[in-house]
Amino acid sequence: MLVITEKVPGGKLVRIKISVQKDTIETAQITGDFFLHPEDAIELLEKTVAGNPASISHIELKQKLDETITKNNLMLVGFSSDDIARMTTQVLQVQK
Amino acid sequence: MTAWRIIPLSENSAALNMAIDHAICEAVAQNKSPPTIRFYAWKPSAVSIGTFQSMHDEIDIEKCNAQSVEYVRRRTGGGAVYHDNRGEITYSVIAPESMFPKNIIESYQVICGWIIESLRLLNITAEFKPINDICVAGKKISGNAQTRRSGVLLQHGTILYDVDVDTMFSLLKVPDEKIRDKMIAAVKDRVTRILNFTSASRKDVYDALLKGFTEGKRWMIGQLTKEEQESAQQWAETLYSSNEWNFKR
Repeated sequence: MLVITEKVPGGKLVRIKISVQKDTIETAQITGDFFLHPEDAIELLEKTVAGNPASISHIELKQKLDETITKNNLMLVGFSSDDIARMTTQVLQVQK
Repeated sequence: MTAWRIIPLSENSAALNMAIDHAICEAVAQNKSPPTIRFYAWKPSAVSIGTFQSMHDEIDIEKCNAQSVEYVRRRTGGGAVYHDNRGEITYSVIAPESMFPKNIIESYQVICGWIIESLRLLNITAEFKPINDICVAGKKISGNAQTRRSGVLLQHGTILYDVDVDTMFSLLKVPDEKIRDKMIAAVKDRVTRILNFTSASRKDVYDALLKGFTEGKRWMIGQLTKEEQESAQQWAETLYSSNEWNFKR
């Protein structure tokens, strides 16, 4: 299990836990003291991260998250798609 | 203009407190209840965590159990809050979303404005600090959290009257035990309480909150309907007391 925790500058604490199997992100969990409306959509964000190759780029992952956010009309408060993408790719880099 | 229903301060278990807010949200969504402002305390003392937090990451369950402190996951985001039985007052505002700005931060500002007004009545000058805090002299005195579902806005929050940071920290997990003392010092530096600025009693604070929250509104003192009471009991038993919910993350 890979874990990365960050207090987003000007925002909230975000912790991402990732499991990787055969160079693929198998599961992703995003926890923290941020706000997301509607709340149930956290699973949509987690599913957007999971299933991608572990080599996915920051930009590509951010694009996928933005698609999910736009399509489902989600509102993130205290963190952003960029934070999730950056932290995820960062922790995957470290693992390499 | 619909009159607000004010539900006076009551003490409840953690699960029931969250369940009552839930039941009122449903009743307001179905137009069965008017917009509601509720004041409450936690008996026994409890820790509530934000809906996206991990219970095991945030809370020392063994220490909570040893000190008979309850724990519950909220429906709202935000952080872990220690609700000391006598050390704070919690409020909730439950109303149609249409009564508030669509912009989340602006709507926090409206309701936090009522708290700031209440503190002003106690001669305490407070300010809204986005996203969701109220500060006095740069230190946090109130934390607030909001959700919107089925066209209903729920905002609840705590106003710190007499907080014991050492007790609070004994219940919360810290990333590294070696820096526990440092973290307690840092939090003491960031958090304050009403008693630091006035000798007002807890009752005085509650009276000020009643005034600050109702100023300029049509309102009446009310209570939960029978349907809300029954629904709250159910939510308390089936959701907010369940490990499935509380340990969901």
